[in-house]
Amino acid sequence: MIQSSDRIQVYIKSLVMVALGILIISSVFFLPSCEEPSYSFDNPADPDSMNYKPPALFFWPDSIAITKGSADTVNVYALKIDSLAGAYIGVEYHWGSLSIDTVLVGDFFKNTNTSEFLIADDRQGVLDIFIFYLPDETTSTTGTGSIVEIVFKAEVTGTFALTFVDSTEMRDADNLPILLNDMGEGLIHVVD
Amino acid sequence: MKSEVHSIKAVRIAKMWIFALLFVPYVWAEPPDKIAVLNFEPNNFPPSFSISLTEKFRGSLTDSSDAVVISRKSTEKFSVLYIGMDKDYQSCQTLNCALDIGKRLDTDYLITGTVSNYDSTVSLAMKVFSMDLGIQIDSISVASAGGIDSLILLAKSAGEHLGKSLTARHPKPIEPLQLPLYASEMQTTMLMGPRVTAAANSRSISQPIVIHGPVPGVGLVEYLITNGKLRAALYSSAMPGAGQLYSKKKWSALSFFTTELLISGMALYHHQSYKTAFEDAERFYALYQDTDFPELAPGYKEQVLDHVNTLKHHNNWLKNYRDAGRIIWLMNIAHAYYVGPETIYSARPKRTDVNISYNPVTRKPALNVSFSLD
Repeated sequence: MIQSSDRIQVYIKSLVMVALGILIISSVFFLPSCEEPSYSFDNPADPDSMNYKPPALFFWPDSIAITKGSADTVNVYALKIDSLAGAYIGVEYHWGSLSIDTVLVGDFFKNTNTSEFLIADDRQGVLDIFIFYLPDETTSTTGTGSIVEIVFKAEVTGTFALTFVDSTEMRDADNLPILLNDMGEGLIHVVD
Repeated sequence: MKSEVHSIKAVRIAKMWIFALLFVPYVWAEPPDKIAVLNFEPNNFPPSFSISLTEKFRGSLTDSSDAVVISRKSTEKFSVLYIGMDKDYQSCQTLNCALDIGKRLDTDYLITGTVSNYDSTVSLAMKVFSMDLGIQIDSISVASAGGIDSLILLAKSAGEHLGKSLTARHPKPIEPLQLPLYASEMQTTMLMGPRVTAAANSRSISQPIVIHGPVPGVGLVEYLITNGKLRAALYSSAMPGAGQLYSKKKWSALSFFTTELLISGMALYHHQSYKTAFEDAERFYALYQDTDFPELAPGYKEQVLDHVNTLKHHNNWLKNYRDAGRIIWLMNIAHAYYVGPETIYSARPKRTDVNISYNPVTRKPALNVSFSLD
């Protein structure tokens, strides 16, 4: 006959063993959660979902709403461009309904080692932008990013398109033209 | 003619007598004695040599007598676990233990022994127990300073002498007196089934009834408690290697436990890596979803895809380790069942403390409470 103290010992040992066993067994059986997440990459800001064929130029945001009398910024983006050292960008807009407030160098084109030059000429419906680095035949930038920021001011309500003129072109550090496969369009909705 | 008939009849009668003389002794002869030898307990002596010595001793017993020497495998089918002792069988040096194992093995004589090595002297001390008489009938000691080889020779010689003398010195005792059952014993009979009835009917006055192991009709819990193989398998299912450890297979236990521990460790590592990669993927996906900058979105997307690849890698390994762990876990249970003892012997009988029974003599139910006084 097992004495009560022996039984208690047996029970305690059994409990400890079971606890240890649960620890090991659970790590083998229940620990893994085999969920493999699937993500949908459908952010409109993702160039891959814009269907542009790089290298390309596009407006971003490609569609904005501005209250009449106020101003907002539209960026001119380069998509996967290689060795960009200078550019002429012609932007057609609806003159009289929109006006150019400011033109700034975009983050993509800013360079800490050299100066960048920006010349913007508003020809009443066509904004000519000349932007380039000091011609040293070496400085250039590569990738995707904002070349210039254009601040439009809304004068009249309506929806107005922004387009690039056909003579828009990019140049590399050797002043050779960079072929652009795509150029996007933008829309500005002016509301009261 | 008459004389011819008489002579044929005489020949027939003579043939019958010859036949009777030849075969009747075989028909009426008692079955040969059975002898069981438990593994000699090594004392400062290599256990493998001890087992080998026991085997050689068994062999010499077999060669020198007509008795049936029970094989090593048969003697090892019971687990003998004394409280406070580690080894099976070898620790069985007491009369009670020897008698109990002897009965369970259904043997007439049981031999236990200790083989020691001290001061360059190897010695073997044996005890011989008679199941019929219920006493220790002999003790034999051999010692040698000539190493293990000479001890083996001495053990063989001792085995030969013992084999020859055992049946001659101790003939079968007279059949014990058949005793009627008392009312209290009938209760026991009802509770414990036919094995107890047989034991009670065949006992002599001086022999106590000792029943261990599974008793038919006692119940599933009792069966589980006394079935060593099932218990070992259950232990191993709760913790890998526990059943092997219970069955005194320390290396197997260590192997299974270590393997399972390593596998679970690796599974844990990959699970953690998976979790980290998953969290990173989620974080970058949230950044991707929230960004308004076309120049940042591709970078976030790339990060998300990188982390998804990483988590898939860790998840695959996790699955592999999990499957391996499960297979080894099942193997461990099967192995524990395989190596587990068939039944469990305890120095203290593992009977239930409280029994409810029916006494057919008094025709009243009875509540029996039993407790140990030792």
